[in-house]
Amino acid sequence: MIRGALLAALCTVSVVGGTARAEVQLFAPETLSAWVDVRAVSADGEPSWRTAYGDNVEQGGFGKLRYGHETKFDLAQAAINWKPRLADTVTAYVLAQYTPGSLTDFGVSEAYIKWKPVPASDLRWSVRFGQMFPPVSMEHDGPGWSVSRTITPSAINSWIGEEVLVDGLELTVRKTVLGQDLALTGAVFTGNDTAGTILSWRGWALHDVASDRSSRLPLPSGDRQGWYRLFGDYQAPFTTPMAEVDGHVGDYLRLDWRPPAPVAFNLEYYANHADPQAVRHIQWGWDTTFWNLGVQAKPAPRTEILAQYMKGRTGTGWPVGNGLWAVDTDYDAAYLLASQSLGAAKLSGRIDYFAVKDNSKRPVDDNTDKGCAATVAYIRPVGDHLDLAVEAMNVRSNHPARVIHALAAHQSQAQLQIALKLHL
Amino acid sequence: MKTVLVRLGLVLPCLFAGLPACAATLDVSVTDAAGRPVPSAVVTFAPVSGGAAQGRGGSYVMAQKDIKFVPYVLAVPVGATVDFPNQDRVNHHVYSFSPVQRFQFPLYGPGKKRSLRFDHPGTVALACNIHDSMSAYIRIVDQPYFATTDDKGRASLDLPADAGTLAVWQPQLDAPDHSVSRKFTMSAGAAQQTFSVRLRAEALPSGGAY
Repeated sequence: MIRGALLAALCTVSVVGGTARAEVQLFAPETLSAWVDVRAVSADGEPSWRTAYGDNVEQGGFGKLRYGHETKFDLAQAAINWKPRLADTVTAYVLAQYTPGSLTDFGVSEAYIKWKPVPASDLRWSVRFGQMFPPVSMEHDGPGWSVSRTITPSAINSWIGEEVLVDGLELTVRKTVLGQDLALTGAVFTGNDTAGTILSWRGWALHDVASDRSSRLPLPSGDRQGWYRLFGDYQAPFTTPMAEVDGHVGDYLRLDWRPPAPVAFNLEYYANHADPQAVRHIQWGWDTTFWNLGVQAKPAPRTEILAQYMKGRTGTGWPVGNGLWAVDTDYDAAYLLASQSLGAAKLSGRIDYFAVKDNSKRPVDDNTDKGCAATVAYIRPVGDHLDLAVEAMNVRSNHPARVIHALAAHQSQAQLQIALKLHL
Repeated sequence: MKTVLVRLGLVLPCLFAGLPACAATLDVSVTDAAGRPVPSAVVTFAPVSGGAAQGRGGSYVMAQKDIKFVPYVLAVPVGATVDFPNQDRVNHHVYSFSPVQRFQFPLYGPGKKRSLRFDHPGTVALACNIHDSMSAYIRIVDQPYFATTDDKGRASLDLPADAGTLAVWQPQLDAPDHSVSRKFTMSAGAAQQTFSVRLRAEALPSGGAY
């Protein structure tokens, strides 16, 4: 429906554009960008969670990283980002990607229209309508919803990229009050009822594979898995992040505060208002809420600190008493990232903490997950159209459900990536 | 010979402008509380004998280059026309909602130019509706003598021997109207003045796509 509306809007304005209104700019160098991201990677430990599907039953599917137990060259992503200008103050944004190794290789990550009227006063506002990632991540400020300081996003923003993708109508209002730059962003959305599925059943992960409209994220594999023993064939062996299960409308509200100081804060509340008992196309509704607090600081002109803390709850299935659902988890995560600019290059370090607490305490489906990660990355341009990135990370975690596959609950894993990103 | 020409160049405009003969050059240095130079500060001198800024025929340019306004602060006399050339490879949509002069130049592309005359003294804050990070100021002055500090926080004014008010304005200056001033009498011979000002910290730019 969103894509239909987008197409209709495109056609309409294209006709207007035929009357030589110079502001319409559908295809021009500045409206189109594309890139190919290739990697040389080496990782020990568990195979990636992405491989847990089909015949790979014994691999478990609890791997925390994009790669695991392998050394190889990989085409990580090829993407096209189209940002046509439909009128003076109206733009569209489409991001399509090809990510081999996913259950669905090709899809549209974001597709929305933005209206940003010229401010007539200090009160500035804009509207977005379409498929988009809610503005939670502070790391994704690169082109095409990419991170700019590391290769791998934090646990929090990896999860946003996996499961928090909506069809929404979003309004942002910005005003300076008593010298404080304040912005309020509110949205209503549909199509994100399954958020929480992979976070509960697989646990947190750190990787840069963002979802798209057609994404299917594999659940931990095999008949012995907790989810299968509870739901059997009434749950698909994968989750579709953009599923609309119950027709309920979700919402999020975010406040940005930029005081006259080299520090900025944001606070956001998200609730998808999904019905935990609703099921459609063997995808269940997960009643998911979270708070996210973000802080950005620049203690020196070339030094930047980013930090986020997220705390939330999700549940699905049927009531099991004490206000709990059959699957009922609390989750929280945090990261602290420091980045230093070295000329055109950037050196960054990040530590992550993440946890899932299983409230229902059902031995058959223990979703406890706890861990931490350390990441060091160096990124520099090596030409007008080529960026080089090197990243090393280590993640340690305790996930009792690994025992189902005769794996140790405690796992430690290291991953080294060298990325070349060729962009037009 | 070169020195003589330079001096003539300084004196002649004063004569043609019908102002008192230039006495000499005043070097003004603006620093912050920590002693660091303050660039982009507009220094003005208003002699008690009066005289308004002349709508000089000089060209005033606020360019858009590398997704920035250049310069960050442009001082112009009342009545001046400012050109806004787009020297970028992308479109810009320049606007201001400052009460002194509200305007907008709807989307215009690389190599194109827009122009506007500024008839009232004050400050016009500029922005681009496409690129949130772009910000600049046009300071329209009605004092006859003005200059803008360079990266070293220095500005030079060729002034007549007269008493008057010496003022400094800078967009981040922490004072009423972002300006401080003092009484000053210019006498024959070169002179120096130093302003130590307090700057307001700026908020971090809003990044991201929203």
